[in-house]
Formats: sequence, C-alpha cells, structure tokens
Amino acid sequence: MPEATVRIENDLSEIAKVHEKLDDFAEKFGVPLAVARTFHTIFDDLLDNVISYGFNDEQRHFIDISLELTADSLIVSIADDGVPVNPLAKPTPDTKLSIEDRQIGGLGIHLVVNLADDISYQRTVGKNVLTLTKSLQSNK
Amino acid sequence: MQLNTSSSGEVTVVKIEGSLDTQTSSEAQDELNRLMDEGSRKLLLDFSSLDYISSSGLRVILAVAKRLAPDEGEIRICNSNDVVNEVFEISGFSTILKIFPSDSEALEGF
Repeated sequence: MPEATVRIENDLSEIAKVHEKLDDFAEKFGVPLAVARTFHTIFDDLLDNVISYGFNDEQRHFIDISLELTADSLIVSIADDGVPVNPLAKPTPDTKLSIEDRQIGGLGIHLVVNLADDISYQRTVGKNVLTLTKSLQSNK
Repeated sequence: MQLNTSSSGEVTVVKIEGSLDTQTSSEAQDELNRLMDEGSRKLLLDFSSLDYISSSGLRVILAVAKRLAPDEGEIRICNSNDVVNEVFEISGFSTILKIFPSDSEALEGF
C-alpha cells in the first residue's frame, strides 16, 4: 500500500510542507481530487489547532503526519507530544446562529470531525494520535 | 493565493485563487477590508479557482458579512467546488450566506 510520512516543527509556517506532501502523494497515487481537497482543509484546521494550543512551553516540538492509501480509503494519522487534547471531546459550536450572532472562530475542529468519515483519538506514551479516514468514493 | 478584482455594475467581483487557510487568510482579509474602505458594499467572491477553505477562510468571510450587514451591504459567493460547499454546509454558512452555482445567478438582483 502506498505510504508517506512528513515531520514538521510546531510553527504555523510548517503547515505548507504538509500541503505539499499531500499534493505530491495525491498526484503520484491518483487520490481523487475531492479527497485531497478534504484533507487540505483538515490538515490546515487540525495543525493550526495543535500548533497554536498544543504546547505550553517555548520549546521546539515535532509533529508526525502519515498518509496511507488503501484500496478504498485514505488514512491519515497525526501524532504530537503536546498536552493531552482530545478534539472529539470539544463542544459542538452552534451553526444555526445568524450573521450578527455568529462568533468568529471555534469552527475548525467541528469541520475536521464532520469532513472525515471516521476519526479516532488515542493518547499513547505521551503522545496525542489522531487517525482520520476518508473513503475514496465518499460523497459525505 | 491570488486575488483579482473586477467590477460588474455596483458589484465588486473578487476572484480568489488557491486556498483560504492559515497561511493566506490575513492577506485576503486585508485586501477585502481595503475594498470596503474604498466604498465597496456589494462583494461577490468568485471561488471558481479556489481549491479549499479552512475555518481561517470562513472567519474572513464572516468578518466581511458582519461589517457589510449594518451598512446595507452584502457578500455573495459563487462557483465554489463540492468540498468548499461541504464546508459551507457543515459550518452552517450555507444558511446565513447567499451562495450561487454560477456568477450570472449571483449577479442577478444583486
């Protein structure tokens, strides 16, 4: 099965490397455009969240991203050694409010959770590991 | 991200190419603020060349909508791809914003 990994530092400018890796992977192995675009959105919101809120110190940290293409899905995992954060435990924002009442922000994780077909969180040996799956046929 | 501006009557058409995400959103926000500072009250965002949008991009759109609403202005969106439309659905933006499949439909009655 085609696989790829990329390691980035906890700096927002590093997210571009993950987008590039995804583009290369998608082109090389024929990942459907809609699936690649979905993961571009997911990466941007998840990594923004991890880098902005995941680390309490001023130290350099690494975030490891892996991509795996199976016969019917693209599976992505993101591992970081930041503070334990289960994004699945975040409250759901109210998406029914009017323009005036809508808060700017708070939507990122809501998008990630709903764009993926399947998502799971594990805290293992000091790491947050989030695994996301999207069907290659998915219209979700 | 590239942003190209043109006019159609009173409407300022802004074509955004590439992505609206963590890296590009503040630049897009600055440019849209500049257009509104210069008097644009009807903004049509043409997303025909927009690959993807994250919540950072949604924030930009919401900020523009919030600024225009009390000023009898309006923001409309057209030509977005299926994944961008899915993001609009999930976020509830499809119910608070006017989103059109084509620019001609978006410009009608604008």
